[in-house]
Amino acid sequence: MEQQLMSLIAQTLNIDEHLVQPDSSSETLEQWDSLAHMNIIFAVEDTFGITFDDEQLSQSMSIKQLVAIIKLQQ
Amino acid sequence: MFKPILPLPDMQAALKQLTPTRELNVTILRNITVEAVQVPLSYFAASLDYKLNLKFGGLDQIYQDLASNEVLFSGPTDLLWVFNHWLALADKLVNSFTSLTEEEKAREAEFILSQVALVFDLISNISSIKMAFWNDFEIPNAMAFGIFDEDMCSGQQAYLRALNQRIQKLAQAHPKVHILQSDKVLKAIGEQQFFDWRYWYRARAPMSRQALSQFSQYLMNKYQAAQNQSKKCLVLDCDNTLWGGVVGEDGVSGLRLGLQYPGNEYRAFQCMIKSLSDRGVIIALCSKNNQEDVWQVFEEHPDMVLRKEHIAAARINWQDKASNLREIANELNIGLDSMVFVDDSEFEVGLVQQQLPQVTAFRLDPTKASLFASELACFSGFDRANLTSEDLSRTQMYQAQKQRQELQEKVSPERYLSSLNMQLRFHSATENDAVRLAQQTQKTNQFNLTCKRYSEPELLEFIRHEDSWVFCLSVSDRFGDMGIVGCAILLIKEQRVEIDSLLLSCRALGRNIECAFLQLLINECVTAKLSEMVARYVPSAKNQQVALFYPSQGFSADPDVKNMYVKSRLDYLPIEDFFTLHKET
Repeated sequence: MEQQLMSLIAQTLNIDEHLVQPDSSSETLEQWDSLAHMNIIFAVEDTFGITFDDEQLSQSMSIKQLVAIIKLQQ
Repeated sequence: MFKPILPLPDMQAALKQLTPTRELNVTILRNITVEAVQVPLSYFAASLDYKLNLKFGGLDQIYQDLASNEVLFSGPTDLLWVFNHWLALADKLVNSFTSLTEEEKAREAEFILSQVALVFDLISNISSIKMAFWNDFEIPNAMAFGIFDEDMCSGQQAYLRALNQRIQKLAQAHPKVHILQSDKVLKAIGEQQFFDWRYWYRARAPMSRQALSQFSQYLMNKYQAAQNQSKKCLVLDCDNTLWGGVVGEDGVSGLRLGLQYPGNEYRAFQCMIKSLSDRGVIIALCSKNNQEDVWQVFEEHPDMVLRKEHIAAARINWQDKASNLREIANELNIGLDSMVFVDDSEFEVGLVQQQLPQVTAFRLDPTKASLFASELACFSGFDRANLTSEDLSRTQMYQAQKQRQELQEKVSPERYLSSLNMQLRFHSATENDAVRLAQQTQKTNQFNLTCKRYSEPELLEFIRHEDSWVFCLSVSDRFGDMGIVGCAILLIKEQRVEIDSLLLSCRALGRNIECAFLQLLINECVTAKLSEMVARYVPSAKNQQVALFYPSQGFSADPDVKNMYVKSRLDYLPIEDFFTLHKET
């Protein structure tokens, strides 16, 4: 699932897959800005069939946090 | 009209596969955050072969951007899209509607309308904006006065509807401005999906990704239709498409077609086709069958909605359908890219898709005949802006064309032409002609010397301006009235006149009308004491047939500029005597 998430994020940010690592976040990837973040949320919701709640929307800015949220809801 | 939305990752993957060839400059002005529209809008633009260049105005800067943002409007804007969402329009109307007095509501409405009028005026004044779309206010279910809001004439729903209506009226006075009905999107995806409240409070982005996707689809479909690049002809298979069953095997009386199930599925499909025909779409048949069998159904089946007179061309034989479609395109004088082919056979649809990729081919699954009518209704390729009375009588015109061709086969060319009893009506264009003429400059490909495409406002400019003359030519003959078939735009520069545009509908070709039209233009110039005419041929993919038109009419080629022609002696001459001229200039 982590692998799937990383390639999804690479696709959404339109960057090469190897640039996205398990410890990537909005701090480490310059393309991951607030608009891209919105698209990442939509892409994750569409792909994993989950819905982020309000609180999760503001904190989930890294691969690790996204993984935790997906696991929590699945 | 709305196809289901792809998940975002699929949409991005599909977008990567597309390599659009035309540029489309879109600018969005808004009072809400809509940046998430980028991916879906790029996707729907690319699927119509447009490469999107998207720019955003500032948040809540609609008026300011239009009034003074020179950077945003320095280059051409093919399409301006305005999101003026009611949630962000006036806090009073959203959060304290129930406590407003009628007077306050009315004052607020007048204020909003004056602002919208200002926006529309500004749009009309910026010439680099070619076309604009305005999202009207959607009407959600939950309104200020609860479930009885809808019963109250002072309810929030009635209020928003009244605003929409008045804004629509305003838009009608601005030819460049078109409306997108937001309720269509809301209906298509449902209210739960339309709003994404999480992002409304967080980022002032009330619309969900799904809503923005459907808006993008809606916008691009409507934009495409407004370009008059819509499809012209629907070519239909017969067995298991127009009716259930196979006429050669089941016989006329054994077909499924009628008022009761299962025949009503096919009847509904035929009604849908008939209404497309009424809207000006040409209907043709392409069926592997015995001709007599098919026409017998048309003549004898009591529940046929389509009649022989609705069919402009037919190829009923055992030849392959790709060749038949080519022949139909030839006969009707239309491009393959303006044809839509519908068949129940995967084989036939596959063959056409492979051999004639220009043709839009789709398959109707005969096990799901209940969907036929609605699938055709959802197909937006035939949608057109500004339906004119000529569109509405197009099928009759093509029918008359067919009779003309039949007569042509019987007699010699000259005798044929004089037997037609052609009446030419030559007149200066008035403002009322602008819609039709603009459409003609957009659609005419074969007999079009310069292929300049003009919008309605641009034509109005030519008509109103003293130094440009716009002439129309209408033709009728013993078979029927073809309406306006020719358009010419002349630019006057002192003693010299330049032909900016000269075009003739393909249905009027092959009868020397073009020569008469040019002579009539020359006669106008002689009357106005102009001494020299210059003209240009601009080659395009489809207008080779007119490459030598000017030299054939006594123009000499400019030795220095290729495809440039001059006629330095203008003589007043009568037109050929098989035409009867009615002049109104």
